[in-house]
Amino acid sequence: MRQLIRWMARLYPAGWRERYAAELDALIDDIQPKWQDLFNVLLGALRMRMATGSYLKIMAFAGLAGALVAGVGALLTEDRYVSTAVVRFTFAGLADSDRQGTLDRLRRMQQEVLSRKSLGELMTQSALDLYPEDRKRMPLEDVVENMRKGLRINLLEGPNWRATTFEISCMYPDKFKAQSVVREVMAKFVEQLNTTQRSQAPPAAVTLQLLDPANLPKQPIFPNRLVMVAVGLVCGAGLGLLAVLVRRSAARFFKSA
Amino acid sequence: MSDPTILVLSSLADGEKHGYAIMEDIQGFANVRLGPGTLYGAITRLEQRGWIRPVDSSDRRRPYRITGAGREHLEERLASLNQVVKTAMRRLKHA
Repeated sequence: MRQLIRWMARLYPAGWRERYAAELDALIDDIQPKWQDLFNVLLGALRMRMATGSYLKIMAFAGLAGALVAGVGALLTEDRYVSTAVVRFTFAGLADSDRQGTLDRLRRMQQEVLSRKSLGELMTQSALDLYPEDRKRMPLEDVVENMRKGLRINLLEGPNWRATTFEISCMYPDKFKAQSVVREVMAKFVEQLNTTQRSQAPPAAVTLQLLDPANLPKQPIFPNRLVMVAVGLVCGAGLGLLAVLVRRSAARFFKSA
Repeated sequence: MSDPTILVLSSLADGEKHGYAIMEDIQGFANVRLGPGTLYGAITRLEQRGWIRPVDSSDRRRPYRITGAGREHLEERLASLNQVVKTAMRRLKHA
């Protein structure tokens, strides 16, 4: 950390460093450095540059600072992986009168799979143990709500009288768990389907076909660290220019007043 | 009361100190931890205005001393602050 702060201190203007660098270095040796000291020195260097530097240098420096902050943010941001499976429900030999009822049952199955009870059970399965930290500090309802945001059941085809195709996807920081959740959701659909079929007389002719099994994602879908650093660079340069314009306009105004 | 320049001047009011000693002193009397960038930003401004000056030293830890102008400025700011504190206390008592 000390070394990082020292590198950051090199961002001060050369004239300032000539006068104060040895003292600042001694101070960094004396303190118990913290993360906020790193940003404090970065901000101090930025302020000093704004007071003394040219527009181009300030923009370059502020852009670099923005990229650096965004880079640290990107490194601290947790990876998110998405696993996806595609499943088709086929309806065969149904009378016209049964078809609408079958589609309604399918919707109810989806609601049941995504219900608080179902997702709560899934989350606390010892093999999965999802969102353990969130579960310690938040009510289960809120954690389930977060889980729903990462769990998608999208309609790809239909619903029509012959077939309905769904894409089931789960986003989670652990790629193996993302895959396991999709498999478990699939299993819950099968379980629901079997229960529904058994309760029908005569049994509804609905079959479930797995078109694409849950994949194991290779790359995280989020964050895109390169884009984050680029955005930090552009925003930093823009903010630097804006800040120096405001600061110098204010200085001119007070001087003339 | 978090203006770093006033905190640094207050710290130097009872004698010369180097950067780390100023930081520790301020933490002790104001319960404010100035970061290294904030502290040296304040020291730079105070030196430019002639309110503090460095003491000759061969050590990297160069001490600073408050000047007469610095003492005057500190007294003015504290008097103004004292007026605010007195007024606020009086109003609190009567509220």
